[in-house]
Amino acid sequence: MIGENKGIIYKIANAYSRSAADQEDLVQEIILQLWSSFSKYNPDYKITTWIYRIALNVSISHYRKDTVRKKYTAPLNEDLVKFSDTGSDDKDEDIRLLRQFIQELDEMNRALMILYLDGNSHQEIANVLNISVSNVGTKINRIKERLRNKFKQIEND
Amino acid sequence: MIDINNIQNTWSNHEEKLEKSIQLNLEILRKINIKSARSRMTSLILINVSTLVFYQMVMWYFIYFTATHWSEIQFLISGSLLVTWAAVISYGAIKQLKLIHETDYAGPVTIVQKQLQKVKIAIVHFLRMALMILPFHMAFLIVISKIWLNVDLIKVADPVWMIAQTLVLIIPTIWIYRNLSPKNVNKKWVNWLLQGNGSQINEAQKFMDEIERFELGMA
Repeated sequence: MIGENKGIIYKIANAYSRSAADQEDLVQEIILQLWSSFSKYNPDYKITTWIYRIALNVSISHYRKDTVRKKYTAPLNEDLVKFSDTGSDDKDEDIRLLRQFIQELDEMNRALMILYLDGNSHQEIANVLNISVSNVGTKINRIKERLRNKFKQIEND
Repeated sequence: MIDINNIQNTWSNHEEKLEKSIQLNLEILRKINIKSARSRMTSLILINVSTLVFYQMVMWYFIYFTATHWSEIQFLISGSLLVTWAAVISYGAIKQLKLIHETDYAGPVTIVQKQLQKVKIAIVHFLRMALMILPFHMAFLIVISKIWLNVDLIKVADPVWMIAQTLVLIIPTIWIYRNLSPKNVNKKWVNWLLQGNGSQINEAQKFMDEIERFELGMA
């Protein structure tokens, strides 16, 4: 289950990390939380909804340095996650700009934007965040408008 | 330049790149003893458990005192007041522990995050409850002088002085109770009472407000 959905975990951890080391810690924490919460998984929900919720909750708490979260996890002696440099290519600049923009959003809007960029429906986003579907639509349009203005500004500069 | 209508493609390129750069050793997961990882207590849980244990001891001691002095009205009233005070604080600690225990990370993001902030903010409510003893500090003096000095304060102290001590503190206590709230944690005196934890509570309160604005579609 974790192997099949690792992309979700990586993207969320990447969006809420301040450094590569921080990102390694966060991926590890999310995986441990998923592992330890699996016994409570409710099959009425889609597995991705469950993964998004846990990954986002752990990441936001990690980002805000919440101490409550740590009751669930303890440090590991071995490395569950390892990072390596894969070099850069032409797509990197676009990715860098998009990532930068996402990291400039506050924690809740960042979560919403990640869910949108991952191609989730408005209903699915509403389920993960517990807000109304119309609220999801309004927020996405608002954020996209900000993004459009930001890119225009970069182009003009 | 990124095409705004194509940002989802840019995002999936990002995913591809991340997948290449991260190696996950899932074998390690199988070796982890999740039970031992789960039982780790944070300082927050420890604070609540110690508060609960301490105030339960205090409460039972005052229950014992009240039960053994019930025939004397001054000790019955003073002991009962202190029992109530310790019980209220114990209840607060139990509520807090329940909230921590019930935090389910698989819950909707806005709900879980608000719950986590509530746990942080609860210290202010604790303090408010603890300070409610101020106007009743005479009850504490009556009981302590009986236990330590075997002196009945009611018989030896000036009753006017005792009543004045209670009345003088009623207004400051009401004022403190009203002003000691998460919204005022950036005030110096509140921060002092919270032993310097004011900024952390302030952050929690701000985030709580931010989540509420987000839910209402204002942020």
